Amino acid sequence: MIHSATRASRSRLAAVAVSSALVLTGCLGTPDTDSDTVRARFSADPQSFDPAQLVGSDDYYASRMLFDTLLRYDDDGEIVGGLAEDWDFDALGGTVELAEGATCADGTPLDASVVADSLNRFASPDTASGSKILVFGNGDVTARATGSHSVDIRLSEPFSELDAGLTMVASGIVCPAGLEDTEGLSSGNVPEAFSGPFTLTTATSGVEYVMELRSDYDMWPDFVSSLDGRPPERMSFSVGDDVATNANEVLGGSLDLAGVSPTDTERFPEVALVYIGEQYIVFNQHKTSPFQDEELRRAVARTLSREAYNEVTYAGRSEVEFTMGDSGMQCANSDEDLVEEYDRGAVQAEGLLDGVEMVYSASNSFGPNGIGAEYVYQELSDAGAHVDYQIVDNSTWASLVLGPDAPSWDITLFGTVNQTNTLWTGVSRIMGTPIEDGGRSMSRADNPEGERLAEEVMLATDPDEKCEIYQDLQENFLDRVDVVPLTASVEVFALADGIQYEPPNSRMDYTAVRVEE
Amino acid sequence: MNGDWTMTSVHSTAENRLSSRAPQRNLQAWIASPWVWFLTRKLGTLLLSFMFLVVVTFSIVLLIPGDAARAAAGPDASLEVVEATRQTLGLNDPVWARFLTYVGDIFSGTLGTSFRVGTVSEQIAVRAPYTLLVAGSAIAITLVLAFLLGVGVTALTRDGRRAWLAQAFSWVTAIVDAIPVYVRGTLLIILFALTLGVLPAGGAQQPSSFILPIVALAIGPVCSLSRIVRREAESALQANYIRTTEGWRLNSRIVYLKYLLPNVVTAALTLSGLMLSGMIGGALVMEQVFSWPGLGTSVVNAILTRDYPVIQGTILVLGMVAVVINILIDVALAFVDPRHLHSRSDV
Repeated sequence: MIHSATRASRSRLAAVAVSSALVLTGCLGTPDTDSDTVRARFSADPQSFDPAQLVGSDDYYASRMLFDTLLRYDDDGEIVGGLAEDWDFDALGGTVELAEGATCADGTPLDASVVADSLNRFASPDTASGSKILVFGNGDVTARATGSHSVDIRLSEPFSELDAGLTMVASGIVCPAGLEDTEGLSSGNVPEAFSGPFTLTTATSGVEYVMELRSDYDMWPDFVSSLDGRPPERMSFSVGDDVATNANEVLGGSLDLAGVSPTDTERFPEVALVYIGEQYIVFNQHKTSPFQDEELRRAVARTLSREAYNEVTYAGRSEVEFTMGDSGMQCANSDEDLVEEYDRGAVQAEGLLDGVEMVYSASNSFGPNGIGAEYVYQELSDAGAHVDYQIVDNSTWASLVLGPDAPSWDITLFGTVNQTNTLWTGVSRIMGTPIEDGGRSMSRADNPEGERLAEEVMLATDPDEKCEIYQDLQENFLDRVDVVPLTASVEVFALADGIQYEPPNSRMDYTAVRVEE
Repeated sequence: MNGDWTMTSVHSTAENRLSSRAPQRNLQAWIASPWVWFLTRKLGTLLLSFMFLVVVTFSIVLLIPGDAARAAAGPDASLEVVEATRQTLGLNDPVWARFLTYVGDIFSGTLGTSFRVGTVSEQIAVRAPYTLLVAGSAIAITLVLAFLLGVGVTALTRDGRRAWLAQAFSWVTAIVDAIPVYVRGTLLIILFALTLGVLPAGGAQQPSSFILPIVALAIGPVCSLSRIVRREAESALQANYIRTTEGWRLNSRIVYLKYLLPNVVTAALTLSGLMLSGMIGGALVMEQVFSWPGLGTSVVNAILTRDYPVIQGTILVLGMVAVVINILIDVALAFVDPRHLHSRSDV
């Protein structure tokens, strides 16, 4: 009796000791929370904090918080003022009037000379920014301060998407301290360089990036300032690319906001859908490719179902597209009749693709484990094509289809990261100078009519006129089946209780995150 | 007086001669010591492994498909920008020149400059503590728990006693050991993070974030090593020297700790060397499950972004850590059982 009592006593003592140790070490209880800090997650370390040198999507997301652009998209997809309060552009540039009161993080006024210096440096060939062509087009650029708050921008080649280009975070204004120390700017070590609402206070590779809200910042666009709740004092980003872990962490309370799989959305009361770009099939029309033949391209288009692709890749949560842009994009075609209707059975019965040999190159980044690419392969194979299927990681795929070796592929599943939210981002991949000759075109299509329309688009200054020409251009390349539109590229973000996130124009922008009062 | 002086003088001369020979003898004895040859062999192993790893880590990046310059410049960059990036990163240099640069970077201590930001050594300095802390803790826990469990269950089930415990131990350890580390991690997340809500599911922002990764990593090796320890302990209990201690009616604590444990340690440590260096590999897998900011996620990201210097430097460091762990295990074995000093299996 005494023996068993002693044993029970010892057991209780052990339980108390273990529990105390766990409590003391912070092991028990809900994970740490801080109402002023929103905990989010980057999928990878930002490779650079220099807006001119952005490469990965997290680079863009981070820089959007740190650098303001002259213009922005509002929540209805309209271009509105950012640092600029007024602007007047034609095809060869124009003037920008800056808003009063904007300052850099160190208090330096964001006047015309600061803005002109930043734009000139971004557009300079010495900077070698990959984004320059999307902001200013192919030609040379000169930005000049014509008053304390007036900037004149001149382009040597027509580019009617300048207003959309200036919404792109790559054109974000870098303050003088950043231009003096570009190496420090790239690594995020020059806090005085920031012009946006947040400053980077901690950057530990792979571990944590902390952005703190500037107390003196007052340049919120109208649509953002009217969002419910208040901006977080601090946003802390850990790093990880596993969407299942992200989902578990949001549910477990150790994250407030993170990207999750589209198939996981039912686990969360609140999710935000963010549009990244577009996904479509591109044909290489090089002389060695079978897809010089328009009828073969049309047969491929008939073997692919946009709805099925959306279902397997995004669990049906993305948007089916009828051009190289989503329905909210300016001038985007919404006429379903312009795209081929899915009828793989007929293609199979007619033997249109029977024995056609093709090299199909795709990245495994489309859907879970590359299931989007797999879907296309299955449909083509089922239709009778002999497909040399090359599914690789994103870097290998980009090296292949965006490299100079034109005959190395025949058909690819392409995904844009459409930072300017324009049709031009996609159109410039199938029109104009081929990649190997210094341009962006990967289709190498012989399409004089399309080229003419593309040139006209670049010259159009009136928005309605531009959309009319864009519609003609879309009819042109959709009729020729230079591309097969599929869906928008989307990411789904799960939100913890108390967090509001309404991405403006469904585009990623962490400055629109709000904490409920 | 004079004679005394003479005697003293002769005596001290002899002493001096003897003392001058003493260091020589000590040196000879030291050289003849099996420890010297043992440690020399281990040093040779270390150097050979280092040279092998340098060549291998340099060569593997040459086999990775894709264009590192395109990955660094981004998908929107023109070929002109990509070419300029390639030149800047030194990717146009001949292979031999790149190898010399790599070796130079290793000996400079930087391990090279990342294609993204900073030097490789800086990145490793940030990330390594996370991996080493988790792997090191898991190794320590494995060694302690495995021996306690193995010897403890052997003692409790000796001579057919508590058959249920023997059965339960065998089943539970076999099942847990058979579960891959990423599944163990997921199960722990479901239980402790999602169901009970007492521990974070991932990340490393809180001290409590360390618990699940360490447990996920250690629990498998604890099971497998404790099974080995138990088997060794059972065999040792049948040995004559243990029977002799029983004949002497020694206290069982002395029997287990003084006579049984050292003999069990020898065999178990031999296998644990392989197991523990494998644990480093397990840590890399575990990092993906828990979004752990260690060297594993660093290597995976570097491969995806074609950051060659980070791939090379990190794998080199991880490889050397595995080699050093195995050498330390060999030294520990030799310390416990000097017969291992004469083993030539590692030469």
